[in-house]
Amino acid sequence: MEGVSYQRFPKIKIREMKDDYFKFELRETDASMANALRRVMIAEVPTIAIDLVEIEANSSVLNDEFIAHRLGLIPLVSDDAMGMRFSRDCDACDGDGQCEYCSVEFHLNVRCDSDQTLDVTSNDLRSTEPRVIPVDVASRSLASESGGYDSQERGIIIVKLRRGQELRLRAIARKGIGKDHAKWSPAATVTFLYEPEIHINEELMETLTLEEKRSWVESSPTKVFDIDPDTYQVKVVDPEAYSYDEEVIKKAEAMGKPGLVEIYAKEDSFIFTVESTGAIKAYQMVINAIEIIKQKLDAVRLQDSEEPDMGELTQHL
Amino acid sequence: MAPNKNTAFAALHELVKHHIESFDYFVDEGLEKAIAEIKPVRIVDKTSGSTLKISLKDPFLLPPKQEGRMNGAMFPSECRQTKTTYRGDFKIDVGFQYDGGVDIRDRINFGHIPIMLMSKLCHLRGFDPQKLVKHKEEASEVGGYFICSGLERLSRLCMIQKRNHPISVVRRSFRGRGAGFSDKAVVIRCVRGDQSSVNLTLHYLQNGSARVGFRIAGREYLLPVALVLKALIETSDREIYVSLTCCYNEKYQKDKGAVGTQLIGERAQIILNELQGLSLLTRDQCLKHIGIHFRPALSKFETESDAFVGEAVLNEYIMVHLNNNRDKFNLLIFMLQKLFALVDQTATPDNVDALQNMEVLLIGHLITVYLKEKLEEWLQKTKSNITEEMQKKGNEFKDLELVKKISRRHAAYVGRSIENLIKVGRLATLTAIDLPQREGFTIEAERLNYLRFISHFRSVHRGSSFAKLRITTVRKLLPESWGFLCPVHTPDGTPCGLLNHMTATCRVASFYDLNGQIKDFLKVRKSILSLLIGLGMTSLKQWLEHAGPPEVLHVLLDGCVVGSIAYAKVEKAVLHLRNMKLVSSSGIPDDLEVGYIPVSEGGAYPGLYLFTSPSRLIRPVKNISFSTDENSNIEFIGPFEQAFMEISCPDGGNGGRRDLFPATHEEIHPTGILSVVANLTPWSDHNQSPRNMYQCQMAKQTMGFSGQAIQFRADNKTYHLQTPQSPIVRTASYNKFFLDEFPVGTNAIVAVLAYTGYDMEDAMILNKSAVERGLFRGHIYQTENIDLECNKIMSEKSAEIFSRRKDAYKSFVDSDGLPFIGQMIHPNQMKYCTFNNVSSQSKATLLRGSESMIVDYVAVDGSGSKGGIRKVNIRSRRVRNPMIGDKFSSRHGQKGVCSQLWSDVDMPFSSVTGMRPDLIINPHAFPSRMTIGMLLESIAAKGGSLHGKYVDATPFSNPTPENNSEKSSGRISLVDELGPVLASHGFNYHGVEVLYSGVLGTEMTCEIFMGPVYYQRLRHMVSDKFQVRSTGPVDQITRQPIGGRKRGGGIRFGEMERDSILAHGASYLLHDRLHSCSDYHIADVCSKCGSLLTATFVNARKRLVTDAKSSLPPTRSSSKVTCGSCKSSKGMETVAMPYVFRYLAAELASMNVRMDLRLSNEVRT
Amino acid sequence: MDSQPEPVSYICGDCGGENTLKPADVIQCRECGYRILYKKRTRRIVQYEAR
Repeated sequence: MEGVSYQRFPKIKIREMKDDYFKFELRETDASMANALRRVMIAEVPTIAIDLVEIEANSSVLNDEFIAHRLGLIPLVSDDAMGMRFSRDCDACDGDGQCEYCSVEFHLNVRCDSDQTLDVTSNDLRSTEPRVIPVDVASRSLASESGGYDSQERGIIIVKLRRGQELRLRAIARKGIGKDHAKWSPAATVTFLYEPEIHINEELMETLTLEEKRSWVESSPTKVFDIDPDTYQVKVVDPEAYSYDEEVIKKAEAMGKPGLVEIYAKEDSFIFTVESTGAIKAYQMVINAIEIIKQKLDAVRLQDSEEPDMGELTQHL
Repeated sequence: MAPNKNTAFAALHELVKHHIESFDYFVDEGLEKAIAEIKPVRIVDKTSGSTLKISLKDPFLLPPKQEGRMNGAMFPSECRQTKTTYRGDFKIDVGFQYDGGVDIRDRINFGHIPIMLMSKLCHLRGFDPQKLVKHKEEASEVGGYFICSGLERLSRLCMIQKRNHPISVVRRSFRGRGAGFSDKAVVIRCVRGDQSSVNLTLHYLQNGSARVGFRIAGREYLLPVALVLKALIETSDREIYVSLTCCYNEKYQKDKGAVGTQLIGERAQIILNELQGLSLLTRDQCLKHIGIHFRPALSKFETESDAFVGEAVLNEYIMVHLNNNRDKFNLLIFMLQKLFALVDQTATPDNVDALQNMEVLLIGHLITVYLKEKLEEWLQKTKSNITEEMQKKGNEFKDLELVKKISRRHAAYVGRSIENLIKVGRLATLTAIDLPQREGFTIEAERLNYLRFISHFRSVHRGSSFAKLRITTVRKLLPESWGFLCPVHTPDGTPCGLLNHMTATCRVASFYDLNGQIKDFLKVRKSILSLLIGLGMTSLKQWLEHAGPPEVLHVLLDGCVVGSIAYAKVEKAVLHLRNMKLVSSSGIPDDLEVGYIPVSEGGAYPGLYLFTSPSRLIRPVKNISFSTDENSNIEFIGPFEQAFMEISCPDGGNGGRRDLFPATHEEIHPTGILSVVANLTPWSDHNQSPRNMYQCQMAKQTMGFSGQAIQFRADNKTYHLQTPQSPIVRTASYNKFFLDEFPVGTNAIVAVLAYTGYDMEDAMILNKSAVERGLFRGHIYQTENIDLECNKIMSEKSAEIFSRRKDAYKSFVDSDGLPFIGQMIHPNQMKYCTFNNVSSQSKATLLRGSESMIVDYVAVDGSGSKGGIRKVNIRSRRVRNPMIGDKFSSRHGQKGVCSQLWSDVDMPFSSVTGMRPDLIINPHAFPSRMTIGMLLESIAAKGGSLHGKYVDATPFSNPTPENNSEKSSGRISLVDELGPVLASHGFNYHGVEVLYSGVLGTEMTCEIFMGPVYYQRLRHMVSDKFQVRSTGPVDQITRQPIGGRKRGGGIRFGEMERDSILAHGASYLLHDRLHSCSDYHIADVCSKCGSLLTATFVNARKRLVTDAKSSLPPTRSSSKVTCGSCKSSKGMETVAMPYVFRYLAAELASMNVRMDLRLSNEVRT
Repeated sequence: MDSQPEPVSYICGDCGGENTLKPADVIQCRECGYRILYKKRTRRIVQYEAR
């Protein structure tokens, strides 16, 4: 590895942090890094989700596959997922993926005996591992600890039963990644935006009347600019609200004042918004993602040292 | 009481009402009327001279009941499951009377007649949704169809000529009727009370005379018009002359609208002179003349006099809709005048293709007519059977029991033929039914999705005879169909323009009034007549007094000339009549058609034509000239009168009528011209019209939610969408017709961009993650009906039952020989097994095809068997998740095939919301197709989903500003309505968004249009269509690969493919395809005699041994083959050839043709 | 050689009652006499991938 080093030292600044929402700035790196982080968060951070359903009895109106699919999509608390084994490379069981190291067993046994329609929800899923439970159940028990338990809150509906119908099944949850199936993706939304840099040409701006200023400010669908109530000067209130729609630039041109504002995207600053399904806490998702990127890079580096020519890599391609 | 008037799903019931009402008519009245019209047969015993009269009395048609169980009502769901027919017993009291003695009645069972669902005899009639669900129907079940052998079938409405209205026609084929015939005629289709019809044609002859033409049993007869006129009533030549010439008056000759010319007098002379030649002067002579000539054609008259036969011909074939000969005479005169006006070009011919002159043929009426014929047939057959029996056995004639037995013999055939009519839609008739077609009267009601199902009931066919015609005039969209037939909803391709659909508002006039009572047409006509006389009509006492147009106009009521009215008074009278239609107490039916054709110069033949008859198309419009009360001014108008009315459309301004012709009526809403399906396209007024047509087709091939009663149905194939949604953007009709009961699509987030090239040429990219979360997932349900009793000979019939007697099968099927419910069956695994009690043999049936299935349900049917399971329905379920090659479409005729499934991370994303599209389509889909509605839908749905509200997208609902001058730019565009909603939620006004590439994380160079669009998944899926093979089964005879997807065959490499390979010079490829990969064969040819077929192997057994020893592959050597005819192995050579060539040689040899091969290294001596 | 077939459970299409029938029995609900019976779901476990 001769020559110039392109190594950079990205910085992260946390803006807002909640269990299912995380907003941070990523600076001093480039789009490839930011996008890699996004992609890994969506597709490669492991979680636990129901993968195999063994149906014993199902007299509900939904057919077996439908119920199995719905069960798979229920997010489960997956804080332990990083430490779990993928069932495909678990040596404790011979790849049948049903041992304690690589799977969690669930049971569902519901029968409706009343005349009222019975909702089968994620509450009815009985887990063999108390740390792996549906996320809404987990959040509710947390809320009840703090006294804010809302009994009206229902779980995630799986199916509805009428009198005499029943559903009995065993489900195996396994570790997996979003690349394999969307149900394993911990991310509801991961997105980043380039931090905009907004320069208002004050001189030109001053040539506008207040009315013109106001209409110019309002031309942006998002609230980026505002007029100072005292000085009547246009100021940037929230640059990040700018969605690169160029409405204000078009407006300025339409008003005959091109160059009224100049907006650039900073090439090396990104503002990330991460929303979690609840399977993993949002900040944990970022940490896990970085961990996974590291593992991947390690794999490349190891390969590189073992075999200096890229022979093997090209073979795979 | 009107059925389901105020109950749930009334709008849906309204759509099929004409089917049900027509069947109700058959039950209530048609049946009795038909039987009353049937003449009794008389059998004369030649030896004793005594007579037997057999007559039909009272019919009984009973609601469906279960066989075996007493009083057990049979419900439709049971018929669907057991593949039986929903039918009721049909009995008639037959009277037997010897020599005018006592009429002995006997109730004879005439088999069964299928009962239409929701008709008066159906058990489901009047059930509320809860009760329907209890009886295993959909809550919104509308009925209107039959169940025949488990299949749902309904009638296809056909266009036929309007009844009892003479139309003038110019047709070249009329010239072929005989010498002197012209191409001009006046045609009338006369319909009796029992709905049977006889067509009557009045031909114009070159010499000025006319001929009356009609058909008896398919053969056409032509009579001189004067003969008919004179035979009808006691009349004089003068009366005929004066009547005919009354429409000509010198005074008015130059006036507008004069139809008569002075030629009419000469023609009347010619007509009358014709009879003079035959020396027929009196009515009696004429009747006799007709009687003599028609006696051979009518077999049923043997003893009656000639005059009686002549009278019978007039009664049964001439203007059968009228009972009075005087009326017939008058109508014939009127037709003659119309004919002469046509010839003299004072009136134009009527357009036979225009809706104006048409009505529809309804199933109830058809059944009535067909049943009548079949009963007549039965009577004739019984008669001949009895005579035959009499001749054989002598004096058994008086043996009533025997007569009854003979009568019963063929009785069930009557019911069976009705069932057959519904089952195959074909009339098995040779005779009387005067219809333009014999086939295609019923169709299957496919429940592919609800839109397809419901549009079957609304479809109207122009007639199958037109499908074969090359001419396109019949397919044209004519302005006359405005408001009655949808201009958009017609298929493209062969049936284009022939198969139309009624508009959503269009109805069919029926026998029932608003209160559900059968109309008393006599009373109705009487009250109309008295009203007309009050309005200044001179009623018809004697024809002679009257003059013709333009002085006075003739008034025809249901094809009967009732009088004439002064031209000056007509308009007022018409106005008053129309107003009276709206007053329910007036006795004037609300669907009366007031066809007023004003006088014109060389236009349509003027007159006032009133129709009360059923099976006319009618539609509601607002009468703005009458009442200001909003509720009571809805008037029903027909296509005949519509052409001469002034109806303004709320969307279209004054339509160029200015102040000259003020509008008297107004459309209720412009969408009234669209069919149910066409009405569902949002903002179809913003689309290019062919796209709306495509959408009508595609909406009917969409995989939708199949219904709630799916567990109780046994359809052969059902498509079922797992996660359907209600569209965000919808038209008013969507709610009106309760389509949320049967949704057909999903609101997908659609981005319009060219991404990776996988979306070019109408391909589209689906988001794999979205699919994994359930987008567009679906199932196919297929039911197999296995009946061990059918297709078996008698001895085996009771022997075979479903049972498992081999433990080896235990893991595949249950002990009853049927599969386990919920179990997955893979290809070539056992599906079910049977056991033969006689031979003690077990037989297993395997699952064929290459796709595994899940057993959804197994229903066993115990009806009609003593013990053991013999009839089962096995329903399979197959998962159909979206995959590459599946077809999708928006509601704007924009279909595309999924070309790639990208996972979430590879899809472009919005930096603000983090949204990834579910679906990507290419922007090139828009410029040439101009489906602006789809773009509007996207914007509107985006706003609607942000706002949490459904958006109304009813087309033509943007009203034009009242005064254009004031606000010329006042009409605000739809975008300006929808844009602010988006802007208020922080989105771009025009619905575009900045997206980032999912692969690179960089901003895309342009803004991307993105929003939710309601997408449909079409039923065409690759899993049902892909065909691939490397090696596989070959044809037995030719040893070439077989064709056909089901059998694992290949796709033919045909002549055109061969040509293109040849043109490329790729000869090795050609050799590979056509020879090596096909029927490659090495043949032994004797080069001495050149024969391909004489090679025989010697020492075959020995050779086997040696082959086994030397583990080398057996090599063919010519020394071991000898020529059978040369008795030598010397000249044997191996030649590679296609096997068919050898087969050809063998075939030729069988015909004594020897094929001689010359080999290049031949050793001929 | 092969064991006699054991009875199978069916559910009546009309009243919903359960009927256990042997292969040679008359196919009819004991309760209401209805002649369309639905086979009861297997007690075997059926496996599905939750995908």
